[in-house]
Amino acid sequence: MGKYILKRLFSLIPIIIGISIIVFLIIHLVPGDPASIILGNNATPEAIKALNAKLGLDKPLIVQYFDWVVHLIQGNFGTSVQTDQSVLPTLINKFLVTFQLTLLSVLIGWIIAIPLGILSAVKANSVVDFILRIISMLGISIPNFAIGTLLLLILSVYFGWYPPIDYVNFWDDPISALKIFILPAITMGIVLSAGIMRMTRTSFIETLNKDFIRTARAKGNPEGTVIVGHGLRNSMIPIITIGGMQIGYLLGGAVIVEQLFSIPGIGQYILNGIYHRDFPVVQGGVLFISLIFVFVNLIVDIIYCWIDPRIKY
Amino acid sequence: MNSLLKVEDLKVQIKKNKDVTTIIKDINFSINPGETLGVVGESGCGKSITSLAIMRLLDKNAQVTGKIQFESHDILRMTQKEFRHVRGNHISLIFQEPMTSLNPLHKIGKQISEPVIRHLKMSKSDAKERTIELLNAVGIPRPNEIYNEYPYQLSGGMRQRIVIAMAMACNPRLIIADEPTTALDVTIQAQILKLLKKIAKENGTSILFITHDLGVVAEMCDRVIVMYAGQIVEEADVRTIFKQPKHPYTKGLLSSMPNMEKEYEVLDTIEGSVPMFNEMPTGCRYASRCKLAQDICFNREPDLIKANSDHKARCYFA
Ligand SMILES: Nc1ncnc2c1ncn2[C@@H]1O[C@H](COP(=O)(O)OP(=O)(O)O)[C@@H](O)[C@H]1O
Ligand SMILES: [Mg+2]
Repeated sequence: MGKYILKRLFSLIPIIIGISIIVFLIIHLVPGDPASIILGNNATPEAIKALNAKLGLDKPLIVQYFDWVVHLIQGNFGTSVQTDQSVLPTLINKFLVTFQLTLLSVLIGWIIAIPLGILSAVKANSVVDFILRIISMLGISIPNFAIGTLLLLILSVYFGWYPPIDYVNFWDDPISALKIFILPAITMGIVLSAGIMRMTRTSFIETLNKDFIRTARAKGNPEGTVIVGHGLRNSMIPIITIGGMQIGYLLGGAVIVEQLFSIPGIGQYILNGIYHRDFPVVQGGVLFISLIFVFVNLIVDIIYCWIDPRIKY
Repeated sequence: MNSLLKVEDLKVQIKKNKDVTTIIKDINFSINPGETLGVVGESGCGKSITSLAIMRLLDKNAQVTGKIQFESHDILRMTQKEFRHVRGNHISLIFQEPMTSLNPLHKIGKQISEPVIRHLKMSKSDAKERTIELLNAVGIPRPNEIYNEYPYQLSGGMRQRIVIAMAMACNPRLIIADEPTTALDVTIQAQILKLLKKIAKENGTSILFITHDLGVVAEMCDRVIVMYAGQIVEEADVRTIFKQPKHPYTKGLLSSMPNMEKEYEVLDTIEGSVPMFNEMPTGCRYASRCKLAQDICFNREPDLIKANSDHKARCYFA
């Protein structure tokens, strides 16, 4: 297993190089340069030129790229053009915010989705199943900002409750953090649960038709043991696959939900960087997110091996 | 002698949308303690449906009526909870497909000790001891290692031994073996049959042995019932079936069986095909393929008629 992980980590190198080139090209080939945005409409050409020279943007693209990569290897993601702050520490900070939100959302989503998905499968084609499937269809089709806005409206208008404005981390003040995170987490949890529920249903229906489930019943096990003890693990692979993808996307920052609930996460940070043509922030941020995504995939693969001993690398 | 299992007028109907199809009907037989009863018939004649009905493992869309007396209780009238105590404990089932009937993600040891822990209320360590003992009994080499292996690491024959170990784990009074050797190579088949015979003899276990292979019946069974298109068409002890078959279908089956003693031989086949379950004829179900069929055969369904005390056949001309 250790050898496999090492191998996987090495195979990441070309992927990372590829991602870095694409990220770099996209941001630099898009029209609009930071100097004129920073200095405003009335800036003189000389001032713009001077700022460009200071930021190193007057050099040929290829030189800029290599400068960036050399710094990256040294762990230096550069400084924000806009705020002059070092990019990497800020990225990590914002990522931790997003990470807490993601964890809570996934927890909520799975706690709703897996039992309901199993129920739906066990009662396949019954009234209960029908209702659950309609609910999950709604969950998939309603955009998350609509759910979020609705939650905010209901709570504030009818119950006079507002989430706190000032952001805190979970490890500093868990109660306040929970108050901040709970609404966005429920919003995203609902969206996540729809997909997980559908996958759980499909996967369980398939598993419950297998011969070994009949064997489990023939041994005299109660139905609960048959479904959870024998069915759950055998149904997990597709659920983990979808779940891993969802987590990967969420860790990249749920921009709309962060915006709606004023959560200072990584999505907002990068979006802001894009508005201001803040090259180091956007380049570093997108690369960072890609790495996280690839890393989540690696963890999912490791979980596969752990679930199913037949999967070998 | 009191029979261990007594099946009376068992009938299974399967509902699909609004249609109800009768798959098996008028199934009557009994098994005595320690006896091996064979059930033969072409595939699709309802053998598995019969065994699943006894184990109450049919899907919800199946309606089972009649009576299945096991010891002093009617299985069909027991509550789920009462019957769970019987399943895997007093009656167990060996399936046809060893490749798919084991849980692929549970270790062998866990799968065999599961019924032991559940029904015999053994502690984990006692259950492990019992499991190793069972692995030895079914002829698994290196039982201590196999205990921690997964089904995919074993061959088909080995897996079927595991399934058998699981079935005999709680010393059941009845084992239903549904074509336990059909999926296996011939040499492995012989070993598995020998093993089942040994278990039946040593523990006095009754076996309901389902097969489509008359050779296996001759090897294993004390008595035989022959099924055709969802009905029993003949019942007799194993000698009588081979020496004096009465039903034309049984005769047909026997003459389509390869014979070791003859060097060259043209095997007979039974012409025609089995009627579909949803368009069963009003008369004898075998009439359309029977050389002896008369008008009455097409018009009225024959009963299972006693030829003498232990020999019955569903034929007007038996
Ligand atoms: N779930 C089901 N729905 C409808 N028909 C079924 C179902 N299961 C079995 N049958 C029918 O019942 C017949 C008997 O099946 P089975 O008992 O498996 O035969 P076999 O004698 O080969 O074991 C088959 O021909 C099949 O058409
Ligand atoms: Mg069968």
